[in-house]
Amino acid sequence: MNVLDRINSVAGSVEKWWNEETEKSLIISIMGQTGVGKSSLINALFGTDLYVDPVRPGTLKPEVRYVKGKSGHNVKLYDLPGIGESQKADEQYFGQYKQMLLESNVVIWATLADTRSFTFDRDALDKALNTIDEQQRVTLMSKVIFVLTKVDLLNAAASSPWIFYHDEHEGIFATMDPLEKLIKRKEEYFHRAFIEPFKHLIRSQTYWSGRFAVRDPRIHYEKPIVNFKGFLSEEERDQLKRRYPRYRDVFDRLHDQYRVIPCSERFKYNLDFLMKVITDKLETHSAGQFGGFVVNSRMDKVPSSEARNRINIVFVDESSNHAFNGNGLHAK
Amino acid sequence: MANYSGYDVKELAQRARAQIELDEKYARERQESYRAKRRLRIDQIITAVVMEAYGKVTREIVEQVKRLLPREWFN
Repeated sequence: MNVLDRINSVAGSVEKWWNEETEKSLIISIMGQTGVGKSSLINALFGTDLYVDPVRPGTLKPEVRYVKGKSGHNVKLYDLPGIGESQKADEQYFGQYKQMLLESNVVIWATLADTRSFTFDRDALDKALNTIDEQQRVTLMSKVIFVLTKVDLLNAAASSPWIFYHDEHEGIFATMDPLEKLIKRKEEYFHRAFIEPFKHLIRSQTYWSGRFAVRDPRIHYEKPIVNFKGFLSEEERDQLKRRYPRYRDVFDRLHDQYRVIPCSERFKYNLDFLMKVITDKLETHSAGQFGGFVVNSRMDKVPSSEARNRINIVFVDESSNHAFNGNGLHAK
Repeated sequence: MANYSGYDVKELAQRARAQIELDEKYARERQESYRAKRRLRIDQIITAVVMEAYGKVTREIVEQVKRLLPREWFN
């Protein structure tokens, strides 16, 4: 074989290898109790079409579901109901949970935002971490993303409506001040339960393409990836940003990976942020599988017509014989 | 449509625009993050295949292989 043929053959093998990786299913684990909106969240993030039953809960055993994203790429979904809902189910299926969580490319742990109790979820996390070795704990904690679902339900608690900022065709949902503060407090509350006790197990990584000259023993740079060992707190992040302003986005991204992420699939709120964190936390060897799910445009847009239908109150004024709702005025 | 009493339209619009700016930034960052990982993964694959074919990895061989691969992989 001459020199050119040999190079061509190597390039062909590289192309074949990469193409095989892109055709593999992306493996996603979604953990959380019944009714937290696991399927809806996966649909919103990965363009899948999982059936959502508003009445009947799913089963208590882990389920494997094969679905396709919008682009036709395959997803192998491990749908993991909350541990703690049934002791019998926990004992029976816990071995499978561990295997599935460790095998996954993306692990999302979903908790309902409108709850104050994290006992079930915290017990489940303890159980998961206590039955694996130290290296597996680091792997699991580096993959898992804690998400607070259905934050659209928090407006009543904050006595603060949502903003829908739109033109004729589409718009975005945004928060007012009291609601934003409540969401932040929720995030901090759950952060104390799910992240802080496991700081020593945390590793984060993000990209940077140029020279990266930061002197910090926790940071290791191997172009184009910046690795960080441990948890980068808000205070530490701000210190690093002041000292190395050029890399402020890098420090933000490292910190963001270990935030509990509040979001709403219904209002498409914070999905852009969540997807950014998912992409940043992805291990390099999963890049091919993930390629079909990279969303290039903003994910926060909601058609104005749909948003109007989400206003679920009709004001009835019998004296004037009128009823009002989000679509405008309707004479009775 | 009449303004909802007690709210400053300009202030609400400003909050929403700030949210849009952030979401745009996140969308850009996730694209860059994915591209960086794709480049790195392809480099890893090239290294493995070159090593198997030549028993060594040199910069020259790697560059020659890269020139034959789709350019968008390295964007």
